[in-house]
Amino acid sequence: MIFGRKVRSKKTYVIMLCGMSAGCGVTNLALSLASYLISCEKRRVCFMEYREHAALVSLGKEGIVKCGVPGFTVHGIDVFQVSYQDMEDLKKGKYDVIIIDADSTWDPFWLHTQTLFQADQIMILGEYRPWKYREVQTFMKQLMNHDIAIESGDFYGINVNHAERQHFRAEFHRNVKKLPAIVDPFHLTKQEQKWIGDLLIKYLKISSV
Amino acid sequence: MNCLRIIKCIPKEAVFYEYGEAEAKLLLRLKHPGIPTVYDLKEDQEYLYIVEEYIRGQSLAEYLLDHKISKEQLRMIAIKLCDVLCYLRDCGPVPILYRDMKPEHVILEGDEVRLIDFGIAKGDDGQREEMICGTQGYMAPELAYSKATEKSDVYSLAKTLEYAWEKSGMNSRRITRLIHQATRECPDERPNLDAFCESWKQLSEKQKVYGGISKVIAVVGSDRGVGCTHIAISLAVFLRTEGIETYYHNPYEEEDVLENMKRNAHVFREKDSIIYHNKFYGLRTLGETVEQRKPPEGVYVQDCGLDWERAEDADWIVFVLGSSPWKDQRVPEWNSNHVSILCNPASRGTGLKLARANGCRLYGFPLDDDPFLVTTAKKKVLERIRKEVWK
Repeated sequence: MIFGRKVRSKKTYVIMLCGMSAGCGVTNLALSLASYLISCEKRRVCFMEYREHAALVSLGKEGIVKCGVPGFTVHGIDVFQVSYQDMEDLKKGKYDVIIIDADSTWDPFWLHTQTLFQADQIMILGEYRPWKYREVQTFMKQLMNHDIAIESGDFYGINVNHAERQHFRAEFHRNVKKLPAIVDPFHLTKQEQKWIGDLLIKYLKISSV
Repeated sequence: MNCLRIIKCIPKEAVFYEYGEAEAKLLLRLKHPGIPTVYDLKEDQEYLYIVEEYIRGQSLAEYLLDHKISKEQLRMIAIKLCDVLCYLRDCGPVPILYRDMKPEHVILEGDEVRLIDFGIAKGDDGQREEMICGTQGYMAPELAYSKATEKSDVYSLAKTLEYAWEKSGMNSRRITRLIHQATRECPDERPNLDAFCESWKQLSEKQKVYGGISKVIAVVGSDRGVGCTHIAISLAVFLRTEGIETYYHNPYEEEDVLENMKRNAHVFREKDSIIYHNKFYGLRTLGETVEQRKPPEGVYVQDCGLDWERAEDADWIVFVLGSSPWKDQRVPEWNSNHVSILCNPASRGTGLKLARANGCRLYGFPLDDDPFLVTTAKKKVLERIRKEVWK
């Protein structure tokens, strides 16, 4: 168990994930984290979709209302499509962890979400393949134009290779952390569970929460 | 006069006399290279004599008995027949409807295409005839309850072309789609004559782009970010390792995937607008303003992204389905069976689940981080697709 009951804080831990381009695996990773925290860590997890079209609606089987906010459950995860106000309400909902899945392609508004949502941890996923690199550059340009301070350790890439990481570091002076790919976030293998456990301890430092 | 004429004698007691006379009178005022010329009409007490141009050649129905028609021939026939029908529509105060298009009435004479037998052709006076005229199998379905229109002729023409295309034994999704659109039951859903003609002309323009290319394999995705580019590159590299001259091609100038590759990974080299690295060869799209060299012959793996329309022009489609359960995982109904469905990425369970949900066979693409490298797992899947394409 990463979370020990004795050290567990009453504060809700907020992790925000956003992607530099479509298809870089944000929803997949966010759901994997939620799935892991629920099944292996027995945490109460709230999953928030912050995008134009709710992607997970098709999977919802049961509707729920928490703190006046309507949502639905997907494989035991409470999913809400929310605004900032809803977020404040949901924080009172006795959730241990709130995971925000933000769609970068929707609106540059997400750029302010770190302040708005007071996320404890932000993860920016990108696809650093040479043919997708233009989108990475566009994203970084937006980030700089809005003067958003993102720490070096916040950039991640699924299966990013050494050359791609070096290229990014040379251009933007930021490190990219490599993440493994997960096939099905709702049915994690033992290996995948280990990876996510490591990710939470090593990168997100959740064990100290 | 140094050319042959024929003289048709129609007995005045014959049942079909009225049709023969009407045809001759109509043809007398029509002047078009696709319509036989009638020079003169004479009659006596017993017969009507029609002096007409002698037409050599054979009908399309006869031609198809011992020949297979090519794509280019079919296009040429379609355009010329459309031209004749357009002339008939525009030549008089009221549009003339041909109403009896079928392979037996299309005469091929070298490069020329002639339309014969105008027996039941008539001006569109807005009235419905009491007797239904036409040939079963080629006649538009609305004629059973409504009057003939320009779109009835489009239907019959499309049926004639369909017959010829089926006899050729070849496949083209674009041609199939054109025919499919023009043979819809509801006339309002069919294109008009001008649009139908224009579609056939555009078909030729699109083919010029691929001049000399032996095969085009389109990779198209069900949603954004399902990995079309990744799979297209993997397939192009794999086919090269198998000894097939293959080029990756992204037809969208604005995306310029290959330019990005070259700029951001310094292992790529460029020569004659072909970007290459080891077994990967990609042909760049430079746009209309740049005069490009003749594209090299070989197999083209075309990265179509979400452009299903363009993918339908290809000889083979690889449809990429995302394995995320929250994405659209339905396989669309394609007009042809020249499609391989690929789930990216797929574990055994995901692949089977999707195949069962869609009721079709699909391949599971393994988790892969380098499209330029042919791994054993990838090879196994791509080899099966290759066999399907070249079977």
